[in-house]
Amino acid sequence: MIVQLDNVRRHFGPVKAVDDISFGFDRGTICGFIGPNGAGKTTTMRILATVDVPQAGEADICGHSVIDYPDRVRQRIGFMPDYFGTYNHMTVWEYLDFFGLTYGLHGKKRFDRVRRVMDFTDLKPLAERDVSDLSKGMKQRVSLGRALINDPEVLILDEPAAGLDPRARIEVLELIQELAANGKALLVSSHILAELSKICDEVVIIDRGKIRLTGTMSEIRHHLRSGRFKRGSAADGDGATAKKVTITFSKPATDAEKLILEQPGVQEVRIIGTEAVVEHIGTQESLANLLKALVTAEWPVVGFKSEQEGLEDVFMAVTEGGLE
Amino acid sequence: MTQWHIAERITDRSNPIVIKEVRQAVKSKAYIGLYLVLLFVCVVISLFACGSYLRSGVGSSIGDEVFGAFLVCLWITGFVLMPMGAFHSLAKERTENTFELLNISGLGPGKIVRGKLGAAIVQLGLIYSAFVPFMAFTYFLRGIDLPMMIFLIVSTFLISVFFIMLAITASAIAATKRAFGLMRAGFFFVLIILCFYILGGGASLIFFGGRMFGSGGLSELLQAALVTAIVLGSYFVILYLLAVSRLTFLADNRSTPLKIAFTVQSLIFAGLFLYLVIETGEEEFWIVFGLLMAIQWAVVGTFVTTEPEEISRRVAKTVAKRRIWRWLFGYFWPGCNLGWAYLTLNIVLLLVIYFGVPWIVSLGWGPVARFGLLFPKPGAASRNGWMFLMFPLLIVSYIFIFLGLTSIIFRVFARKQRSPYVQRLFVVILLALGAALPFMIEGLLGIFGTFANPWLQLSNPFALWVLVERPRPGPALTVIALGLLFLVVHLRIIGRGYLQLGRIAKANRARQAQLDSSAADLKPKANG
Repeated sequence: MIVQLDNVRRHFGPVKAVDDISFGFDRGTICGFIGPNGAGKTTTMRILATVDVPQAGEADICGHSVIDYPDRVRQRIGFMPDYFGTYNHMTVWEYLDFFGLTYGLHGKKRFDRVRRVMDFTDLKPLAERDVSDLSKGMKQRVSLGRALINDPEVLILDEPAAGLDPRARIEVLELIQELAANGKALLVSSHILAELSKICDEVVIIDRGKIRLTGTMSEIRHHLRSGRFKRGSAADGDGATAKKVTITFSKPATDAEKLILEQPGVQEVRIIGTEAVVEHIGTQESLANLLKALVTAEWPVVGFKSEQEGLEDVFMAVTEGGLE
Repeated sequence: MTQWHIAERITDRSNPIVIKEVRQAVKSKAYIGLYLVLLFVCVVISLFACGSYLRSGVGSSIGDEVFGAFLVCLWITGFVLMPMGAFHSLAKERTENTFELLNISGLGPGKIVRGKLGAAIVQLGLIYSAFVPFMAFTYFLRGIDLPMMIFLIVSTFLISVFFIMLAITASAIAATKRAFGLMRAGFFFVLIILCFYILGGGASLIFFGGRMFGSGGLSELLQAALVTAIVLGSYFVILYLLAVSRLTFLADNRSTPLKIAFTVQSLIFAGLFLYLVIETGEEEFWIVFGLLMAIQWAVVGTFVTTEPEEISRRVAKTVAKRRIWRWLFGYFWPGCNLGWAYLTLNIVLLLVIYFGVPWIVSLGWGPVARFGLLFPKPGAASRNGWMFLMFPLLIVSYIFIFLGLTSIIFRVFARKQRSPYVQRLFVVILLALGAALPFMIEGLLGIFGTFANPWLQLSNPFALWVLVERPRPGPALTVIALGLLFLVVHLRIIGRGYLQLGRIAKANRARQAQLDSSAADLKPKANG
């Protein structure tokens, strides 16, 4: 594993910010690091970025201990915190060039590196623009460019898509995917779980300093299918799965609530105008029965869409209820 | 080699912070505006000077006045504006979190501080490049000689650099936005006061000593400059290390270099003051040395004895493997327990120097025999000798009493509140209470003139003279006994600090053995 944490502990007085956590991931992997505010994400990231030191346990990056060899680790990581860290009166080129200098890149090597980073992050048209005048999305690109300037093997990105508009968010996430495709290992924390689930290969969910769940995305989906989470765990076996079903009617659906709730497998119903959002646990057959019941009762159904539970639901389940 | 290549090479070899700051400065309206305003002021002063020279007739000496006018502008710029700029620059770096990004790149805190200092010096140099030609021109207006001009310009530059370092350190000490605000206001006030103070001294140098270099005052001036340079130079190093220490991550070693510097500085000061006593024959210099060291070590002691007890694992890794080195130099390591060891050993060392040197001298040793005046001659009751003996002992005792009391209160009664900041604040409050207590008692009992009774002033460390001046030694000896008591109580804590180092060394050995064995396990597999 290029990043490996073993029984890492960091307490601040009585507060157990990180409590005996272990996980790791390899090159070319995007590891989603998820947890509510105050869960211990930032402390863990700061330990990996060599800013803090754990009281117990080991944390290695590229085989170097973050405790014993912070300088070696710093040369191999790129850290993008949840703030921009920009300067006034500095163009994008000067900004990246300055950070190139701080990493000891000299002459042509630095010039080439800055150019390559600007190409990758698509910042070339903004090279002469003042960093402090850029939009949030562009600043985030510059920030990513800064994290890449030393060509790190491991990238630690804290909320890289936070506060960005949908387009900028998608662009940043695409860049992250491209970096992983180039063989970099990425630890990405984010609150936008739906998008994180699309790009992550592995997920680590942390809450109150403890790891609640860790595994690849397919492993997590498998867990979901097998109904191992408390929330929505009333699956009756035989291929029963937890699903969210959105039923659209051509007229307000308030009166349909009672009928839907009477159907087998239905856990909860929320009526919003002409839509009914149904929490359903059951087989495909029981879902078909739900639709059949509505049509038989002459409800004008114009849409029937079921979604499998995503990362958001897993997150809610493990951080609220915990694993069974 | 083209100019571009030369510029590129300079960029590569310079501190990145200097490059960045200069790039930013030349684009900033504030700096360019200041530069233009100063140039304009220079032109205006020169025009006035020309007019005045022509009016008062060729041959008149107005050079000193015109030079003084330029120097005042330079002082305001160098002593107030540039240091405030340096303060603001680092403060911004810290409040906007860019400092952390720099720290985890190749730049350590030392490079960051040197970069900030270097950038401010470059900017100051640019301002000097505007001023110096105008100032040189005043030589032709007579009234001031060239060496004095050079002396004043160079000393102004060096003092400005010292103030810039002071500003960087002040900025490094603050941690929150509110603290930066308070520090900025306070620091600005201090700079203004210092600037006025220097204005007074500088003006007298220009107008009354404008031709000092031509008279016999040269050696005195140079001597004074040398002593000032040593004192300010040593504090410059301390300020630099203090700034670096404040910018170092909590996980790293923030104390050891600073602790070493304070010890070395004390030894340098001992040598310097000894030299002053020998040169001038003024034994009071030795008492000044004692007082200066006492105040300094009271402040240093407050910081080292209130450090967090826990030693970070990154620092622990650097603990000496051999016991002998741990015993000899362990007190330089961080942690409040070892802080007590550090404070005690340094105070003992200084007391040995303070009493030992005059004692050796009073035996008529070597070329410093004159110096023997300080120590009371056998059979002669010297009042100076009593003060010489009592002053340092009392101050040291008060240091142990106040710091010891704080340490015990926080170790026994308020363990949860034992943060360095709270403890340091508590020391200050305790001092204030100690000083106020005699007057509170006075108010309660309706007694007036408490200074007449040394027993009432026992808690007041600022009324030492009351204890020293009286012929009765009772109150003074009580304070010394209390100081000794607190020291004895803290010997256990010092021991705990050394045991902590021993445990760390043992854990390091175990960890290394574990790493070695895992490496040995991997080898056959790799071969296989």
